[in-house]
Order: sequence, then C-alpha cells, then structure tokens
Amino acid sequence: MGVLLLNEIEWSDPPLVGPTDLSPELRKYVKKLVGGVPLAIEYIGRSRWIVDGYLSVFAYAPTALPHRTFHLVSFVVSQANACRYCYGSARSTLRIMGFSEATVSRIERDLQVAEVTERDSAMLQVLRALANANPMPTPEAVTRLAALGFSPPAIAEAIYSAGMTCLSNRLATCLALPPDDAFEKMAQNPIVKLFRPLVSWKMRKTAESNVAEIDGVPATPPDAAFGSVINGLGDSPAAAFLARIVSSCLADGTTIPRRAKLLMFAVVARALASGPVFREVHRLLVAENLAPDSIASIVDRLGGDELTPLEQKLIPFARDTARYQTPAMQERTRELSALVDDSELIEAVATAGLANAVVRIALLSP
Amino acid sequence: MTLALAIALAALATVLATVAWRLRRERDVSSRRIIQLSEELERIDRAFSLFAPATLVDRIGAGAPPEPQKRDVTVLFSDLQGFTALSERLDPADLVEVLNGYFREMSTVITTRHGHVSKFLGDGIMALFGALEDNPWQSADAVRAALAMREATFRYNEKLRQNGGPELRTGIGVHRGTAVTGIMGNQFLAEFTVVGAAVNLASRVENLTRLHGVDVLITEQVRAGLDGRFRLRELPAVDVKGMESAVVTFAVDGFLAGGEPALPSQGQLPRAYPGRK
Repeated sequence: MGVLLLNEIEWSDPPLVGPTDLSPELRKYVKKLVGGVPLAIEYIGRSRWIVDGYLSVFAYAPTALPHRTFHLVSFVVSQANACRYCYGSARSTLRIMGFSEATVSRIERDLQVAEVTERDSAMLQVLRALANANPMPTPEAVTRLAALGFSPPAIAEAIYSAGMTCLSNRLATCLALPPDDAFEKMAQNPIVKLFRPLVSWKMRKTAESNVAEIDGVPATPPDAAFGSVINGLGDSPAAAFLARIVSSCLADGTTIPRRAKLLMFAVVARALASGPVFREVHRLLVAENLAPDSIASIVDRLGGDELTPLEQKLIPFARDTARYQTPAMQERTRELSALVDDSELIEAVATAGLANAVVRIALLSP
Repeated sequence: MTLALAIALAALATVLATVAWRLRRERDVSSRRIIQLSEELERIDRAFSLFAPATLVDRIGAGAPPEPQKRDVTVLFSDLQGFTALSERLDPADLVEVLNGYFREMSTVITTRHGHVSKFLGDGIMALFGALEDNPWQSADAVRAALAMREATFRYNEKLRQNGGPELRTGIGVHRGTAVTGIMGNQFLAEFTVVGAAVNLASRVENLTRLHGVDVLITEQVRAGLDGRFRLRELPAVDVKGMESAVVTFAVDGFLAGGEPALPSQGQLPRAYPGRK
C-alpha cells in the first residue's frame, strides 16, 4: 500500500528486549565509529558484528556517491520498509545534512523536488523495489542504473546502502525498538540548526576516517564466505565493510552456531529466489558436513530431524523476514522470543537481517 | 535627468518586485496543489488497497502490473456453512457486522501466512498462495492458514457468543495446481485473480467438507507439498463434477504430536507482552 508516513506506521510496544549495559570498550568503539551512541545500540549492543552491521550505513562515507544521496537511499528504504525507528532517525539525519523540512516532506511523499535530480529519483525507485523484493529486481536493474549515468562504484554504494539498511531496519523493527526521540528532536534544536553545516561536516569526517582505516585491506578472496557477493561491490570500500561484517558474523558462533546461521541464509536466499546466494550458502553448508540432500530437504520443509532444537526455531523465523510486513514480522519475532533467550533473539534477528542484506547486494553478483 | 532616472529605476524595481511576488505566489500555489494531489493520490492508493493486495497496488502504481502467466498456485476456498439460513434470521446491520468481523479476522490470518485474499464470495473467501510471487512453501502455508482460520473462527465465535451473536462454522478446501494468473475484467471493473481447473477443483473440495463432515480438506497435490508435520486422514475417493477420476482428499486434523511448527500459533500467545530485560 504505497509508502507510509512517520505517524502512520503501526509499531509494537514494548520492545522485545531491554537496554543492556554496554561495556566501556564497546561504548568507546561506537563513539569512534559514529561520534555518539545511538539508542538502538543500547538495546542490541551485545556483540561487535551486530554493532558493525547496524551502523554499516551511518559509519560509512561513500567515495563515489554524494554523501547526501547515500543517506537519502537509506531514508527511502527505511520508509519503504515502514521501520519507525530507522525512518525517524534517517529523517533526522537528512535534516542535519541540510535538507529542509519541506524537501524531506516532499521526498517522503515521493514528489519531485529540486534537491533530488530526476536521475537520483529514478535510482531511488529501483532501490525501493530492491528493498521490497516483490518481486526481486533482476540484474537488468543494475543496467538501468548504469544507463542513467551512475558509475559502477556509485551503483555499488547505492545498493550497499539499500541492502545494509534492510539489516538495520529488521533489527529495529523485529525488536520493536522505541524511536530515538532525542536524535529525532536534535534536527529541530535551534543550536543544532545553527551549527548544522558543522555537525554534518563532523559526521562525514568521522565516517571518512572509518573508510580510511580499511584502506589497504586486501580484497576478499573469491572462495571466502560470500566472496562472490562481496566482490560484486567491486573496488568500493563498501566491499571491505561487508566482508568484515559477514566474516565476523559467521566466525562468532558463541550464541548461534555457524551452521544455524548459514541455514538461515539459505532460507532467505530461497525465499527471495537468489541463485548466487543459495549456491554460495550451499557450498558453505556442504563444507559444514551437511549432505546436499539434507540441505534441500531442510530448506523445502523449513525443518528436519537432523536439525538442532535451536535451528528448528530459527529456520521458519528466517523465512518470515524475507519480505517486509511490519506488524507480521513483529508478531513473529514475539513468538520467537517465547522460545529463545534475549541474546539468541538479537543474534537471530541480526543474522536474518544480514542474510536479507546479502541477498539484495547479490544483485551485483555475476 | 537624475530624477527621471530615479523614477525609472523605482518603476523597474516595482515591476521586478511585483513579478517576483507573483512568481513566488504561483510557486506556493503550485506547491500546495502538488501536496493536495499527493494526498489525494495517497487516499486513492489506500482505498484501492481495500480491493486488491498491497503488493499488487504497488506494482500497478509503479507501472509494472503482473503479466498474465501460468503459475503453480495453491488455492484456498472457505465458506460459512449454514450462513444462508442465518442471514435470513439476522438483522441486516448485524449480519454485515458479523460478516465483516469474520472477514477481518480471516484476512489477517491468511496474510500473515504469506497468502492473499483474492476475493470475498458472499460469505466465502478465495485466497491464493504463490500467485503473486514464487513461494516454494505454498502448500504448508495454505494448510497452516487453514488451521489458523479454524482457530480464529473459534476465537471469533467466543466473542460473538459473549454478545449473543450466532455461531459460525467454516468449511475449507485447498488444492494446488497450475492456473493462469492475471488482471482480469473490463475497463470498469477488474481484479487480479486466477482461472483454471485448479481453481474449480479447490471450490469443489470445499463443497466436499459437508459430505465428509470435516472442516479442512486438502487434495493429494497439496499433501505432496507438505512437510510431514500435519495430522492427516485419508478419506474415500469421491466423484467430482468436471473431473475424470474420483478425487482423493485428506482431512487435516491438526499438527502431529511433537511435530508442531517451531513457532507457537497465534492463539497460544498472550496479547500483552511483557518487556524483557
């Protein structure tokens, strides 16, 4: 039903998890990444990869796409996904970046505005469709973006922004995080308004230092987990950002084991008919000693005798995150919350979110 | 000379200021009109969403309506048994209220299980799974939806009973097969729907629920797509109009013991959820 405005989104209450005590190291790390600690981190900050995943757009400085366009993508996707938390935060970010209230209001009504070129507007339509995945755009969408005059690195960054916003949207939506009122009001603060260019500059500089830090990181080998998807981002620093998040998600098996995470990826890939991601995850699951027949049977049935009790709970949940229906997803997550503990719940939502991001970014894969 | 120049400049400034003021006013008027049109469009969009699945509305809005195609779909038909007699007893306003409440409950249950309501047929519902997007789990989704509809009807009946309302009984038939999907109708009235033998058979299977005295009935084609977690009972084959051979159906009694889905069903959950630390 078109897109909803901020005050029209049905949002579950209360949140499924409470705020947690962040370790001083993590707090320091988040401040270094984005200059402050967003409210969402207080709820989800239980492991480093989830923090990296959640902040993957905010902490990134695009090198080929204008900074404002990069965040405009995130805003439009958050609105398309009707994520109350991210939509409000992204709206505030745009205001801090200098978009006027009238302009933002017209963008969210999908109207042509002078600040958004026709070319950017066409790109936003493609990225909205990518977020909705109803149906998933074909690789021709990338060709269309190229025909509009976007360079391959700019397309990569736009798709990275849309894909990773799908991850943060799922984290905030599934867990029903309360809107970050302080950040949303910040854009209206007269002092912030006065120093908006300075605040915006500082945000960009902080993100640029994050990108500079990964400069020189060797390219992801094609045989690394999801190497083909990551390398689809080409030479963009976004590739290194995604590689870091994917590898640390799969390496961190303390709460949810690697095999369970891969099975969640398989289910999301199957739900969205993503051949490249399904082939890749199939390879990784075989390496985990799961027979191809078993993989097919588990994915076909969304269950199986060979699964652990935790996997039995997570696999049907992963399927329900593939297409965005805010009330239904929140209800499903509440159902899951009755079956797992808070750490497992957060990790499960983050893994499903990352799987959704990877499937969408795989649009760039050969 | 200087005075004349000053007057000319003043006149020019006045003209320019007037033109600028007019342009600004016209821009403001256009801007307000665009916002009004946008709001009107949103209202139409919302109204349209009452008559078609949101996904479909989005696609039509984006200028990419679904192309007619042959698809593997699962069709669910449900009917309120004995409702015709009931409708003669009830006051029209009460009848509409009861029916709308029932449709609301059922639509939610169907939508959250990845189906969409194609149409309301009097007191009946036709729902589709896998019609708008590929869905490898459509059989299980449809049967889960049917079981959830049973549960939702039970809850709705409790609500009706408290208000002195009637008791509703549903019959649900589910069949999977190839059908043609597309937007059908004329320039005045059209809908996204499916046509084909699979649709007719699903409707006939729903009719068989009365014959077999069960509320949820599925065909062999649906059973073949299930994951073994459902408690099924094979029923005698019955000749069905339009089918060359007798049709074998299965009653769905529920989930197998120990084979319940990993997630509890809607009714098992409290409505007020405590926040957790």
